Amino acid sequence: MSTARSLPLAVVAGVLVAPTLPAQRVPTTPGVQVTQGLDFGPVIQGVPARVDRQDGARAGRVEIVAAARARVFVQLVLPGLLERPGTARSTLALEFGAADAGYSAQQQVSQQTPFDPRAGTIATLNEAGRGTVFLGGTLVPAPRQPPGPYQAIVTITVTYAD
Amino acid sequence: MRKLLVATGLVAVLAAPAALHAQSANMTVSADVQTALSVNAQNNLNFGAVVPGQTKTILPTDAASGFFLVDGAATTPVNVSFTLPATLTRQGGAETMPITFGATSASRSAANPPVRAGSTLFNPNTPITTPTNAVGQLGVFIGGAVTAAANQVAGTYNGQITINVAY
Repeated sequence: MSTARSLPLAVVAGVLVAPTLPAQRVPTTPGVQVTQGLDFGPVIQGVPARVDRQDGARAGRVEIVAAARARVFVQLVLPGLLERPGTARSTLALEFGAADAGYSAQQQVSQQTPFDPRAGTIATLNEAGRGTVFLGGTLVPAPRQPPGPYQAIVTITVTYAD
Repeated sequence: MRKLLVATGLVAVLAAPAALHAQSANMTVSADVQTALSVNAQNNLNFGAVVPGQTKTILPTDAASGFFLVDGAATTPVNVSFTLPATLTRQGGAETMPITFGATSASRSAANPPVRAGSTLFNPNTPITTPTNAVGQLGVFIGGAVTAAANQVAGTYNGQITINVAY
């Protein structure tokens, strides 16, 4: 008698549990997408130029997608120089400070936790399995820095921390 | 020796999944370096001889007008403003003579090279933003008016006009 009454309960429990099954599909690899480069715009010879990580228009922006609430290790390979392409190749000094990167689980430029981009950080993604990294920096053009466009590449690598 | 090889192989198999979990992306860092601005006085504003009781005006398009040459990045907007004197002071004395600047006392030229003829008039009392020419130059000319009192002490009177330029 008691066995017959417990069976319906087991079926009900199964129905309640079923909708959570898709959430158990954890990505084997975190997704990383650069949605905005670090753009210093026009800079003047001999005048250092800084882009704050909270500058929504100029700071670099990277979106991370992985499992909900996952902890991920964010590492950046940072260049020390920008280069001007062409025959008269020139370089331009680029510096990163201890608080030039920021992480936001809210994915808001105004809600960041700073970290040192040279050291990387362990970030916890939000309930949707997302988070955003912002990057600023400082350029130090020489007084006679050859004019023109300069570029460099920052590589961002994300791995599961757990 | 065989045992050692087997052990090494096992480590490699275990390490492989961890490497698969890394994902990388590249971000571009970019900047456009521009030539620093410089400005030089090419010609002083010279009123010449002024008779007591006379008001003498120099137009910015006159050869006697002051001429500043700005050098910077090509075809780039530049902010221009002046610090203007209200009086000139007699050299070797303390007497003064008023100087005024009106709505058309200055002009600018982005011709290559900049020239007074055909330059665009503006009010030097109000800052402006105007572009350099294709070789990064901008000519700024300034005139004005001085009024010598009827009893103005004779002599040479000087003042200083300062131009301020910035991107």
